[in-house]
Amino acid sequence: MQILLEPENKVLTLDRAGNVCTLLSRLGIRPGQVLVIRDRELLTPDRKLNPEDKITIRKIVSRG
Amino acid sequence: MKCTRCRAKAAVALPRHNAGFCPECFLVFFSRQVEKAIKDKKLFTNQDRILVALSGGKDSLALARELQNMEYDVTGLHIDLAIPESSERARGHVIRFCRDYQIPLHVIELEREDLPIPKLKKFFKRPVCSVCGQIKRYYFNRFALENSFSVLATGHNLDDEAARLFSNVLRWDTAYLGDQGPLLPDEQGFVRKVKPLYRLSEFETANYSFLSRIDYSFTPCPYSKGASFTFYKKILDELEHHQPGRKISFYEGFLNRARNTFARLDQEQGKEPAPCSCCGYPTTTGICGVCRIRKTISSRTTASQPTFSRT
Ligand code: SF4
Ligand SMILES: [Zn+2]
Ligand SMILES: [Zn+2]
Repeated sequence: MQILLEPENKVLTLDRAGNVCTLLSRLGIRPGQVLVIRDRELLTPDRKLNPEDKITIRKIVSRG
Repeated sequence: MKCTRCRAKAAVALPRHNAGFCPECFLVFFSRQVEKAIKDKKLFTNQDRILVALSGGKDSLALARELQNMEYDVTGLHIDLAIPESSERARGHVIRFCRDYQIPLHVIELEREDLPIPKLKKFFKRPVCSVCGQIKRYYFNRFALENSFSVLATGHNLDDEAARLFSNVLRWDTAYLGDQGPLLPDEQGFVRKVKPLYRLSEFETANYSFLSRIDYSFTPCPYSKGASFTFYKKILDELEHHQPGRKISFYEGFLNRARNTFARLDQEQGKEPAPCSCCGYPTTTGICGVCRIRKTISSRTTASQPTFSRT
């Protein structure tokens, strides 16, 4: 599974899939702090992930 | 997870509302929250000319889009802070957004005003965000008044407001506490200021902007890292995670049960603002903050220029 972290534009590769909730807790992120995007679709924490997925995790920050 | 309204697949989970929404229903939910804020707090009506402060981030663009959808009379104002790369990118987002949605736009360039933020960062010891915030408030207010707008709307969301309240409470800053809220009426040289997104969290405005396909800037300002607000937001996020609904109850509790007390205190003890002796902007210190910033810069640049003495 390929993860793109924005806005840093860092790419991570993880083997185990599970669901969005477990993915975020492995990365130490709270669900309310990011958008989780797959193929232009937003995913809720309960959604299952597949090993071949490409996921974007976009931190929600204010511009100031 | 299924949508609470229509049972389709949910795209957004909102623990504090004990709800989940599909894209269409989420947009309905969002509009209703904005509408509720406008009606409950009597922020403005269709008769008002509204100036929206546009930074290029998700909140301000979401606000302008939503107000336009509701057929309010909106115009955008962007302040170009002259921060290398960052400001150019932000300005690009604002210009494209206003072009695409046909929202009239004005831009003030701090470089032209001789107040570029990177220069001010070098000059002042206090956090650059406090200088930047002061300058932005000054120009937004001045532009609104000089161009006959009756309302200035900003994209501050629930997280911004809760973090500000938290910070004001930690310092027991009674003047700021008496002055915080989604509606500041116009008075003595200040235009009416409103925050129609105060019921919506940062997470919700991000979801709205994504689902509305708004092309917003999601790279933060390079100076935002050390800001104390970012830290307070993290603390409140933890609290919200363990106790969903905490942020809104903290903020609304303040509005309903504490704000008036602080406002009264401020009326009794606070000073009446009078026009700045240089520029006419209302201030309680004789010369307003922005004119003082200008004076400091010019005195220091003159002082540091080489002087030639005859030998
Ligand atoms: S983070 Fe600070 S310096 Fe950057 S735009 Fe916001 S207030 Fe200004
Ligand atoms: Zn629905
Ligand atoms: Zn002044």
